[in-house]
Amino acid sequence: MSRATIRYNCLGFAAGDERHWWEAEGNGGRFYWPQHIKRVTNIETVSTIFTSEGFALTNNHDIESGYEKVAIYASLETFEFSHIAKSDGKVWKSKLGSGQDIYHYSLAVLEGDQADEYGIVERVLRKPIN
Amino acid sequence: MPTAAVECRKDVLCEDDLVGWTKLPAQNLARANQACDEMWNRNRLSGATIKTEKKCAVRWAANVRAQYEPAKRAIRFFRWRHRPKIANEAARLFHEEASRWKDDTMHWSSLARIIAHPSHLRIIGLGREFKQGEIERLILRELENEPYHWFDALVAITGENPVNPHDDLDGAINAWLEWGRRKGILEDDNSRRA
Repeated sequence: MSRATIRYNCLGFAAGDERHWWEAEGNGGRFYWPQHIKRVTNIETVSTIFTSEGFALTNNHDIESGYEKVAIYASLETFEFSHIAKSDGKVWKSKLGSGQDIYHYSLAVLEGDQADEYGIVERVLRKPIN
Repeated sequence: MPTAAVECRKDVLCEDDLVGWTKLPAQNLARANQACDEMWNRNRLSGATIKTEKKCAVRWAANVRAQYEPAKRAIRFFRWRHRPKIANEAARLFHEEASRWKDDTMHWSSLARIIAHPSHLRIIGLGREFKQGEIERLILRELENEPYHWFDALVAITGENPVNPHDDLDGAINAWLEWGRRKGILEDDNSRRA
């Protein structure tokens, strides 16, 4: 678990980048956005970021040994992208916006409609760990 | 120049003098009129000339002015005494909005959404409401002690942007802190250590 920092957000954390805030409207410096991805933050573009790295859609929302996974959350109000968590096959990990990054064993702990919850898991992608 | 009949001259003279003092409240105007009457009567009984009567009216005006001088001094003191409250008010409002902003947005991952929060917009408004440098100083102290997404507010309030497009987070923070020291908004490190 890390200290709160605005250096990176959940998307950068899930992509393995803890030096940049991944923002579609951001341009260089402390921001990053993959060049080949359309500059809009929605569930489709976030999915494309990971499918372009070899991830594929899965119905299994549990931690699976031998698989890297990412879980994309959607807001219950807008059904837009709200959060992304990653798994290394042992535990789920999430960077909570500008807050800390945490470990959790279930995706449901971050689901809900309260102020600090992220809605619902819209899709999960996985890639075998080499 | 007053042209009224003799029996009205005292009133006209007094009113002319009072015109310069129309800022007096109504009850004080009555007292000033009474003082004018007394002065007039004293001069009339002593057979004073018009020139002397005018001098008495001028002296009367000076007396009224002197009478209200302590009140004016009291008002200046009151304003001076309450000046710190205005600076504290800026800090109070700022911290109130900043706390609410951070509490509401800390777990969000979209900067566009974070800076669109109403409290962030109100903080930008505070930058225009209070004297130049007041809110900027508070923001720069926050940036120094507990960095948050203050960059857009600083650009909006100051109209300046000392950050190089290639600066990472630390570079951006240092650029703004250096800007603050250059502008005299923040103390520089040397003076702080002293």
